[in-house]
Amino acid sequence: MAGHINLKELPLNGERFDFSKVSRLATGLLAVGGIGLVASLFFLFNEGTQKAFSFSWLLGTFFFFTIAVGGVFWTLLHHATNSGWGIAVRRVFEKVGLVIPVVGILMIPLFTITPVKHTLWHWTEIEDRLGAKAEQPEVIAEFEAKHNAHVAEFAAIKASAEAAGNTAEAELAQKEIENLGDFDASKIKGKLIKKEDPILYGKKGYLNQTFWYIRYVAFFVLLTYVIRQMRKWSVRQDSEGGVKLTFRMRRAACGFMIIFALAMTFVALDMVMAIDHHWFSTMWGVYVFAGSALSGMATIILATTYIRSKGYMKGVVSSEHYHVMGKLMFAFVVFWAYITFSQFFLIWYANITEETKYFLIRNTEFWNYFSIALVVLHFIVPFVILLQSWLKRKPAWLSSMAVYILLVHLLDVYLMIIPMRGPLVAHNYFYQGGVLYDLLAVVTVGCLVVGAFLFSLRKDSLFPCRDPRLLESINLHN
Amino acid sequence: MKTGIKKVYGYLARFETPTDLYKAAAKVRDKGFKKWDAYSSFPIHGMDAAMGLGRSKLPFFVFFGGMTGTLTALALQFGTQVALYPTIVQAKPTNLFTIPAYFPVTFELTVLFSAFTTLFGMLALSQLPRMNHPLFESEQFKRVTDDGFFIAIEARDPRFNREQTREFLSEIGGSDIELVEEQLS
Repeated sequence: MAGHINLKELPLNGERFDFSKVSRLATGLLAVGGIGLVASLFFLFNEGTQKAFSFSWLLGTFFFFTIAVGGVFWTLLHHATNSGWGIAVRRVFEKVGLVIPVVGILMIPLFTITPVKHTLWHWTEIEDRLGAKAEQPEVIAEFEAKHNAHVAEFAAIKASAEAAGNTAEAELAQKEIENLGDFDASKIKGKLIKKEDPILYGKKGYLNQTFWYIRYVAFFVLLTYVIRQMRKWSVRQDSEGGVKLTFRMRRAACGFMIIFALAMTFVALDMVMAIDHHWFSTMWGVYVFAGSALSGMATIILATTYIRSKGYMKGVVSSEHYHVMGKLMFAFVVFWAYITFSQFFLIWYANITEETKYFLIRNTEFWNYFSIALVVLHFIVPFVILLQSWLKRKPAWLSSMAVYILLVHLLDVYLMIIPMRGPLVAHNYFYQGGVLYDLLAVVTVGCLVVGAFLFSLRKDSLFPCRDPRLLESINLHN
Repeated sequence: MKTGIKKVYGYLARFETPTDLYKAAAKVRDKGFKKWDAYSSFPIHGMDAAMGLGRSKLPFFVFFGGMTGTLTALALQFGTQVALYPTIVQAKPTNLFTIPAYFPVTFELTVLFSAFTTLFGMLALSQLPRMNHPLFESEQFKRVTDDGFFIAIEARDPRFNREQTREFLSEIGGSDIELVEEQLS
């Protein structure tokens, strides 16, 4: 009840970020990121290092993808639930989500450099190799000969059955001939895949490269569209005011939520689950989502603290907002643990061969220490610490917890991707200097993404200054 | 007219609005009264702080209630499935590494025991259920379920004084100040 703020105490057109305060930091980050990017591209193109480094680059880009998509999620959820508390920090949600296109562009080398693509997603190698084989004239001739022999065989059966007056058998043979039909060269690839990898053949309706590229482009374009559109309306409200745009954003966010859910899930499946195309888990999408929402909220807390440390949003964001954000972060720590345990438990209990593969690698020998560390560091420690309500009200404490959450989330993503680097999966920690590559990739992508985030602070006001419910949010009490 | 033994319960004062009640409660708190309460038909934000209420003891009990649940579940499952009669299902181990199988029951019993401790702890701490409350002797107190906001200072408070407390209540804006007497027999 104390400390009510009314509109007169707020700057009329919101607060604009003075970019000169961070321009040196932003350009520095971009410079470091640029140098890192050059080094990374060198490693990606260099034959000796590309096998090890492709996993590092996937780790770096996917880690920041989960964070950025977390920003999109919180923006949409905030509108869809029509919540009032977060209006003061809404711009931060949007700006964390706005780095999505940067991540999408940084992921391009993974798809376009063929050896990298083949290393990461072994099924593309099978598809390309057998696709090339299916186009060789001698292979086509071989298949054509086999086909003709089959047809001739049934024609002979038909002729002898007709001679013996057995019409039923003749009809059956005729049907077989019709089933075989004319020779079709485009079916050779499918047959080759079926012979070499029946599981991949079973999944070829989903796991084929044309559809895979379409999905990648479509989902990144859609995610970019969603977050840019939400921000556009939000910024337009700064000049128009009124409730019209609030209602429009609420309606749109409910529909956009579907796009978000599909995009996030399918990117998670295509990028990480498909590293081992034999393995599948129906919990995977939710598992990655839990980590994204958690790390997205941690990043939002950090970004808010950073902007406040530069002297902005002082009268707008109070310890009450930190309390709510801390509670959401705590909730997603628990949600992550719940989903992660559910995935492990279902696979452990069902004991189905093609599902247990994931945990056979990660829960034996060397990687087992990481898995156990993940349980302790990603759940037990933050659970006990974030349970304190006084801690969530102190920005400094909550921000240190947010940094901690981001670090353990990095460990989580590391365990998703790196154990597959091989060749000796259990002992590949330093495989071809792997851990240094991982650091380089994470730092490079991190510098570029954070630099882009700082540049996005330049424009419009730091809080939606003419949102009708801004005061409700500022005077939040919980 | 009722006769018999009566005991003074305390002073009851009415306030017009929740804001008045909130401000008055802060003043009663600052005066140092301990045995008193504010009554309203709906929760008022920040009232706990205005009344100077400390942290509830309940979470302390709930923690131990939940722990009891965890230990009960683990003891039940380990006792039967590992110590007394090990059953090997699908080549799953029967030792410490069986623990994933025990998680659902452990979780559920923890929640159940915590919930029971919360419910019964809450009833015990607020001395519920009870048949009657002395304040129901007051006619005007019926308005508390509708548009009345009240503060009652009990006579067992060491700072209670028949004249000074009455004056104090009217000073902080209370109206219809009434000495509530409890019927003992």
